[in-house]
Amino acid sequence: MSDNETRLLKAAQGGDPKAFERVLRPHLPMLFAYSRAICGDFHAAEDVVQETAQIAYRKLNFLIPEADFAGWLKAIARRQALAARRRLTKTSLVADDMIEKVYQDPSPASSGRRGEALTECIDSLEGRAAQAVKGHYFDGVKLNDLADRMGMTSVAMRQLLHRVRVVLLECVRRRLSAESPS
Amino acid sequence: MRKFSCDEARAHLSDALLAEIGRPEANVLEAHLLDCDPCRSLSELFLWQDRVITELAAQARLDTLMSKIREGIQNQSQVTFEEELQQRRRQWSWTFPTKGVAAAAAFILALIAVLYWRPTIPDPVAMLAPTPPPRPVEVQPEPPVRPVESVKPPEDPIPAPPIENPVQPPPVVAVDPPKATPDVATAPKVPAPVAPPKDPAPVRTRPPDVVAKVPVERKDVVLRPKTLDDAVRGGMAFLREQAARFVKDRETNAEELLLWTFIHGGVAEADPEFQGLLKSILTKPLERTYNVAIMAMVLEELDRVKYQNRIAQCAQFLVDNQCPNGQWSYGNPSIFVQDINLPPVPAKQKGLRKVPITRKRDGQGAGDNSNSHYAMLGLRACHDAGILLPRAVVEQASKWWRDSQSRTATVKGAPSAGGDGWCYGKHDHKPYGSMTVGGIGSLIICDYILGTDWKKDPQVASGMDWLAKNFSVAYNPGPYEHGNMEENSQHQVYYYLYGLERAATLYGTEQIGGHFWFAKGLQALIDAQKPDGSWRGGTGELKDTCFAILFLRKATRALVDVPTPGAGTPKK
Repeated sequence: MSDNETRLLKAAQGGDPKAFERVLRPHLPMLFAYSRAICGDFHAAEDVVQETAQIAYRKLNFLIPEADFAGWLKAIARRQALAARRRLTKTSLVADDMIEKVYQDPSPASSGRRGEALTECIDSLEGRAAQAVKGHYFDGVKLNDLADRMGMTSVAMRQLLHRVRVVLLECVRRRLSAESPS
Repeated sequence: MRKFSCDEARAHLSDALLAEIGRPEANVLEAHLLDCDPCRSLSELFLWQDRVITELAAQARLDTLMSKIREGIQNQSQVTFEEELQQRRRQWSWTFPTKGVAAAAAFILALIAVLYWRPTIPDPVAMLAPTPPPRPVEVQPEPPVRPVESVKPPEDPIPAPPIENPVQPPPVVAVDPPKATPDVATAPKVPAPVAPPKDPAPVRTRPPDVVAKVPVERKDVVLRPKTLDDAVRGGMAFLREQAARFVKDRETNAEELLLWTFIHGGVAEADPEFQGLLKSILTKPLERTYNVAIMAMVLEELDRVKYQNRIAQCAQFLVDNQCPNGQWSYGNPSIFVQDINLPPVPAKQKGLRKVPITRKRDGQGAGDNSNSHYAMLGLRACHDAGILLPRAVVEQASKWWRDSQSRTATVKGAPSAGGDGWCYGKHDHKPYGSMTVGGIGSLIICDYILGTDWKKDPQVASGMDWLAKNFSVAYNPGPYEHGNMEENSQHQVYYYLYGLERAATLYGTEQIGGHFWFAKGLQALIDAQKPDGSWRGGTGELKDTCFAILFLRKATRALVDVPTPGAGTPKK
């Protein structure tokens, strides 16, 4: 935990909501992605993040100075997201241990060369692939609605998103291998 | 057990990450990922991709998110240690007397048990006889593979402790690029259900007498409790052994049910028996409501594009066999079925072709609720396969189900306190389980096709209330009208259980009246399975075994298109 974070946390524990907002803000993207990975729904994940922030603020005095703030937030979000998943009666997406492994590092996933490469690859998407990624990931449009909007069946939409994943994977691999010395 | 090839697993992996995967597929996928390192690495990469994109999306919405959080914490005050301590003390003071009373009661019961217990002297003759094991168990030297998913404790796990050793994103691994996905316009809705098993021969669980004869020292073996997979494997082995009888026996006449069970029980599509059944149902005349309805379900599950013509014929049969009162009877052939002959799908066709069906004739005067609810399942499959059903047919069916629901309320029109169910028709006697689960499922399907939210339908809710109040997995609750009104009968208990699975899945709930229906049903079925792998509950061992397997495999596809209350709407 950085000195700045420690200082802000102390202020937040003293009842300063602005300090809490500042210390929370950098962790929100990770919390949102983590919650969505668990509960499988864009809007429910937003709710989970809000609930997590409220619980964290109320119980901030229970956070000991040496504790990992991001890990603590994740633990709260996990409970809320699991509850949301049950409410939504969603099938468990993938093994939970895999989610934990991928979200082990709380720092932004887009940092680092691989993350940057993926960001560039996403920017280079065009046409229906770009539309699908924007609708599904950025706007949180339900899959069936998105399929309707794009004049496709939901099966075709699922296949399109699968192809996009594969394309992005290849794109990142190409970029990284082009950069690495042969 | 059903297995995926790597290609199938990868295709399902994306569905899993989109939360668009059914429970059976999720289970098979999970098992595959445990064994296959390349696929596991690929799933970690996909998850990492999702993380990056979702974090970017959140970054773009950060101000919106932040303002909502600000509103949320505006009126919140932080809890101090002292307040928390006081609150816990208050809770303790409330719970202490209850705990004390419970402990005292337990002590008294234990005392009574000690005072009144008389050891029974065993019969020496009986002791000399070999003791058969009470339940068929497999002697397994290796530890259990994986616990049954559905009997996991429902509660949240304890929050994970803060993570101290962050690691880098998963490394890129050499994975075979997935094969090109088929053309979306002609892609089947569901891929080929199973990969051919390594050993195509049916696996039989060892009969209990064989186990009893094995001279083993009990301390040296691990007795593995029977799992869901064991039960399904045993049931499938029984069915495969009896399949020929199933097909030949004119009375059972249920090839479609057998094929439906094959699909969910993990039989490969390439299997000769599977192909034989498929060929048979594709060519046989459409004569009976049950058969035609399940045929539509089978074909829609296998490939709704490829078999759309046949599914449309099923729809025509079902529409033409609806009784004037909205029910279905056993059904009669409709000559108009032969008029359905769709042209090949145009190359430029995008998405699923819509095929309108019109009613050409009426069915007989009245039917029964058993045929009627299977007809509704068939209509749902037709609807999902792009068949445009006449609205009047669905509305008429909906009216029948609404009118025939028992009305025990004192105030006219109001649902009764204990809920309302269904019987076999529209009679003056009490409702019972197997017809009520059928009624609930049918009303939900009507709402689904008509585009209304069944979770707000008071009659669906009333049916669910009845089910909650009379919940059972051990018997068919209520008076069984074809068995002298016997209360809580064993008649058709597996037919009822498969209906329970459908009602709960279509409604979209893991609990009924606080009961985790699947976990309880699973245990009941494991306990009731016969040593030869079959189940017997009064509908005939073949059909009963099919129903049991369909319950265990959660064969019903949920209706994913309708929002769950409270979900999908951001907080204002």
